Amino acid sequence: MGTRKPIEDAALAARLRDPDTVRAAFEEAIRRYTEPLYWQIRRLVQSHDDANDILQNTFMKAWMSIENFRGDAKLSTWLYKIAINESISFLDRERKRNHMSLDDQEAAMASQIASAPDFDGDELARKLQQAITLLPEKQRIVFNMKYFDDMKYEDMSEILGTSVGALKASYHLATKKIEQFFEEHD
Amino acid sequence: MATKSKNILSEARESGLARPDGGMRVPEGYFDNFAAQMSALLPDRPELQEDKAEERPRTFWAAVRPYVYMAAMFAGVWCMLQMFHMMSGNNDLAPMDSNPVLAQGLSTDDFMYDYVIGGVSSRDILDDMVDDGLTDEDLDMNTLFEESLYDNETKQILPQ
Repeated sequence: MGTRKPIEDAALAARLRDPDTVRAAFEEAIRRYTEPLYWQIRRLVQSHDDANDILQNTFMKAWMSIENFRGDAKLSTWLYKIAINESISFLDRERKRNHMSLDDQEAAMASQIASAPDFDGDELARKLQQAITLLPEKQRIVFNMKYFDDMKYEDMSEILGTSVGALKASYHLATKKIEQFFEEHD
Repeated sequence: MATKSKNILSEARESGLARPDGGMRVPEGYFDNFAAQMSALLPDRPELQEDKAEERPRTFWAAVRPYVYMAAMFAGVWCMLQMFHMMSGNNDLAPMDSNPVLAQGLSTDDFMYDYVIGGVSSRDILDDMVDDGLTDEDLDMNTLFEESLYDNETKQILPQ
């Protein structure tokens, strides 16, 4: 999110508001944001297939409500919001479908990571993902955005609708819990 | 592997794991294919063009609408002023006693007995007063009861 030049986003947002260029501009937005949005979703749901479905839903919802994008928020912020809402909704649905509690779902995802084939084979990466999966949902989102994407707290604040102070506290708590996980599983 | 707890996140960062994929993989060429497939999936939205077309011509109604609204607002204010004027008594309506029908009706006692006094009993009046918050502590109920049973003509208490 932070790597994209603001002027490029502003030009793209202007084209998105023009009915004559909206489709081409949206297709460019897809090319631009597929990868960062995918990783954001994937780190939350872990499974590639689920992440793929959620990413499709995210872009479809954005396209079907493109007239609601007025450009007063950044395009990336708007898309991230939709992606995170879709991911959380997906996890809620899965939990209800499997009659699981939040803790049960996190534990099941953590155990899936232990045997997931689509890791680079690095044991540290696998263990780190397990520790992140066991974090409370909000802390997991905040940690992912900060640690992996190096996103600014101000941008996160816009996406998540939470104060910068609360986000810093969430990140701090998340790092403590991850460290504790590694202590316990060393 | 040195997994000293306090440095674990720093160690992961130094190992290059603090990147968006966090060590996870995707199928080969996934991102390139996804963008093309997603673009093909997007339905047409002709209504976006129609919205724009609707915005262009400025209709006669759109042009005069502010003036019509303003005129309606002044008309409303004028009506309210008229209403307040009438309520204050300074109006041109005929007073009740110069209305021939009402004047004729009010000129006889029968009208008052038939339509005003005859229709209201002391019990109705008491009911209204109780509804308004009157309690038996406010009144001497025995006195009231005796008065209602007192015949003014014979000056005697009526039998119950």
